[in-house]
Amino acid sequence: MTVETAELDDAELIRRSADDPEQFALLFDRYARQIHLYAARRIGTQAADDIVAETFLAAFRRRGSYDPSYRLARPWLYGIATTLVARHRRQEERMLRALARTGVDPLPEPVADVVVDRVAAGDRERELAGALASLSRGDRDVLLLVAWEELSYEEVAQALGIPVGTVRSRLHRARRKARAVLGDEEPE
Amino acid sequence: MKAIKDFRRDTPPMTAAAGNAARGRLLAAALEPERRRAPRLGWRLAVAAALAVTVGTGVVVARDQPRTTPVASVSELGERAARAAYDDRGQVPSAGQWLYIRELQAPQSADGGYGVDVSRRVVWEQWTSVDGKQVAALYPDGRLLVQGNHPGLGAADLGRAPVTPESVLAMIRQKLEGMEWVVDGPQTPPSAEEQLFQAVYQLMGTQALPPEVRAALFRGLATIPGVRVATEVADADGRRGVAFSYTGESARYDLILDPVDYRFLGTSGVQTKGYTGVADVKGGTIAAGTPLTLTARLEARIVDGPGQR
Repeated sequence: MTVETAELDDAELIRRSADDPEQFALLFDRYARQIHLYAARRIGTQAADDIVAETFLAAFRRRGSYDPSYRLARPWLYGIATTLVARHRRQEERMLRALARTGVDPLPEPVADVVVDRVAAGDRERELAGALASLSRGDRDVLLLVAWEELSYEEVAQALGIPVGTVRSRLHRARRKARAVLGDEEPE
Repeated sequence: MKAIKDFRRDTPPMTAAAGNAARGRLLAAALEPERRRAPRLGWRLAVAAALAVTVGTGVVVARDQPRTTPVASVSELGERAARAAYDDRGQVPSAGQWLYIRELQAPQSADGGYGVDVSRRVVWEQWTSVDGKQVAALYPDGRLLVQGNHPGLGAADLGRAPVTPESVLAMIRQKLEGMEWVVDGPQTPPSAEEQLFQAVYQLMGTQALPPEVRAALFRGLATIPGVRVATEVADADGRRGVAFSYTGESARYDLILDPVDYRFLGTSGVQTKGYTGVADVKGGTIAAGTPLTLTARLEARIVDGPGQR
């Protein structure tokens, strides 16, 4: 079964999951780790554990309305995850501001990893954290989906349900703010 | 971009335990309906049958006495929907928050015609303040337009104890009394019952309300003279539901609920009486049968402010 389905694109998997719901778990196997890392980088691993579970539950429940012309479900899943991350917006910004202020990232880490040395952040990282905290949620969503997750403009538009033009303008604004604190040494 | 790409790059990956737990929750959800399908279907048929019988009775009664409502059927729906409202594990809104709603709609008819074009669909987003006083939507250029909302009642007003069907309807009636209705040309203003139905219809479709208020509104709907049950009413997404239906002087409106769990699906409205000589309509004519509204709720969520999703 797995051998056979390994070749299927996401849209086909989702279609098959209408009659065979367990097929949806293959989508989890494809994307759960990257969704988790994305959420963990924004709001910490513990919150990310919940967000991964909720993202795939929500996606599973909405699978009937998935547009099969999008063969890759990755943007769709990132869109759901981003919406869930938004519930933690205040915490996200609080932690970024704390990092900017103290140089220590308060992003909660799993207990087992406390031995990992927490090197104090450099000035640039602190400034960047401050800049990220000052972005509007929509601008930050676009910036991080492009910079971290390497979604294309079209994929970000699909994920967030906004026009591509809005993706461009949000990204432009977010980069301008980031550049303002980082200096001009990187022309994209 | 490199600095951003490197930011928190050393975040640890998902642990095996977390991955297994999340995958397990997904599989549990995937397997659950299989086990439940038979009894749920049975219940659904039973409800449909109960409604069919009582609707039949109601129609007969209604023919003999035009003012008599098919009480048995619509109160049955009110009661079932009210009970289901208590099972709703939605988020609890607090003061200052907004309800974000994304819905599928038939758009306004092109070239200034009256009503909506049911052959097309658009996605519409709006935000309503939890206090019920404001509604917000986006301009095409992305700016947020915030306006006053009808009927201007929210969770705090309607949730004032004791919450009963009578108390919530009385509060809405009182609010409506102070409003002036502007009608165009030969059209007649809506009756008190129609206004009341429309206000409840709007509250149910656009406001974040606590379970006890929703339950009281469902039970209250069933007591408004003229409110009936309609079955197999399709929303804009093609989902068929059971509806509270009201036919007024010139139009019929349906508040469509899921036939199994009674959550809000969408709305549908159609002109039932034709008019000529209407000043602000192209051609001056409104034909009977013109679709007036067709919506389907896709998503609703409590957020901290208008424009947030």
